[in-house]
Amino acid sequence: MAAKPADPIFLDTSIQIARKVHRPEIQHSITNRLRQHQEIVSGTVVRQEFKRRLLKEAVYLLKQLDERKSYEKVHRHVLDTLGPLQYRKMKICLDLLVTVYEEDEDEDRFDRTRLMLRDLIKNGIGTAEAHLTSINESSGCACAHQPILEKKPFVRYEFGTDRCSKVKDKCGIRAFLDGHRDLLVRLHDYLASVPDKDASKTDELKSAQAFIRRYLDAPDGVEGEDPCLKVGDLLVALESVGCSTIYTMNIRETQHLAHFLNQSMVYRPPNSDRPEIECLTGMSDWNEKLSGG
Amino acid sequence: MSSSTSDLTEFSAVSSGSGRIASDAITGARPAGYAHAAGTSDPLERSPEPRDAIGQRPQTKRATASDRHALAEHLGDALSFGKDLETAAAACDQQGAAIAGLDLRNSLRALWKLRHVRSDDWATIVNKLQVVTSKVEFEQFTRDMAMAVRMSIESHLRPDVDNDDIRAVTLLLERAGMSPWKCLAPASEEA
Repeated sequence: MAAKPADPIFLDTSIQIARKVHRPEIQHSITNRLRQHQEIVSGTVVRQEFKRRLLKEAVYLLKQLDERKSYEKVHRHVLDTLGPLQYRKMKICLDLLVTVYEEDEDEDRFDRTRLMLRDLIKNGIGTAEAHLTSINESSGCACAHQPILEKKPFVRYEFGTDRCSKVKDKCGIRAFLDGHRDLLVRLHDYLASVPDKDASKTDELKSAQAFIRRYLDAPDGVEGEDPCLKVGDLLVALESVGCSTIYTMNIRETQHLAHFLNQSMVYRPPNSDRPEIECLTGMSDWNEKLSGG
Repeated sequence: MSSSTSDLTEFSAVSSGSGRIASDAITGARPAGYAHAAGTSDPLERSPEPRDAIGQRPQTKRATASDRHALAEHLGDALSFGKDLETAAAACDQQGAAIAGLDLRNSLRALWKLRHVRSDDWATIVNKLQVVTSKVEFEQFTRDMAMAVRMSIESHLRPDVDNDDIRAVTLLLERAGMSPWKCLAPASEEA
């Protein structure tokens, strides 16, 4: 049975980023999906990941533009310098390098790109969250509340810290985890039951499992492990508790976490020719569905 | 350097965010423990620097009186074509929408060429309007989309625009179903 339109849908970081920088067909697809839901929810750890993964790359590109004074040179730099080892960075950078008109000259592209990047840094979070009906702030993520400061337009921005360990006094992650302790015990057992050699058990899931174990054994000082930086997927999953559906472009970790949390998962493939895949609660084999079987 | 005179003194101001499009907030019950999105604080701290130091592009080209005059003319044209597009879209007049849309696109292109006359914030808004009106079929424009474009031109292309205008235009366009961040896809798609 399909999820009821009124069910809350939780947007993870991949969707929040795609709503800003992915291809128009994907954005339309996301918009159409969200129109089916009265409640659109996200969380503060998602905001922190949005800052860290997307907005920091925008600053990186602004610096490149400032240094090279040419759109084409920066474009080439991204293609030549950011190889497979930095694939995610390269992909986001390429997504951010906008071209409006083919007939634009380099100066136009340069100006358009720097204006868009600055706008994204200044207004990206505000406009991304303006479309939500609610934000789960229960994680108490202090990093997410660090303001972005524009020190020098187009050149220098300060994002505050990414490390919970540096804002220990304000970080609420420990209390957040304490509030989900029973759930974490069960999640640890679930992750432990997935063999390490199982290809779907990613390094991130292994890290989450190890983190939960350390937290359960010694909860004090958990902020010292910089959880929102190192086990963001786990924290985002906990933020989504209470929502019946999670919406993602990242199936690798989400398929396990959503399945465990008894949530439906809607997967938006990055290829716009492919339709979204709905993995519903109660469906026995999500793998078959995700592999197109 | 911004001129202190308005380019559109004859046009009535439309309050940002109070239009029909901007007022479609979704309501409903929330899961326990969730704050309302509208109540969240702005994560970008307002810069304490004065306006003349922020939002201004280093001037590489000096704005002449002729540039300012041309800008005012193109802006008037853009608004006029925006209204035509809205009227045509409301009447489902596809041919009229296509003609008005192409004219609007040309006016916006002319405004972009004159961006050195105005601030970076102003140029950002023109760029957004170009993004949402490029690579589109104006025949498919809905009335809400056309209205959002018209309202953006009418209310947010003043000489003294600031970041609040940029944000208002972004939300106006997004809520009408457009993406003002980009219009061309990356070179290749992932499998």
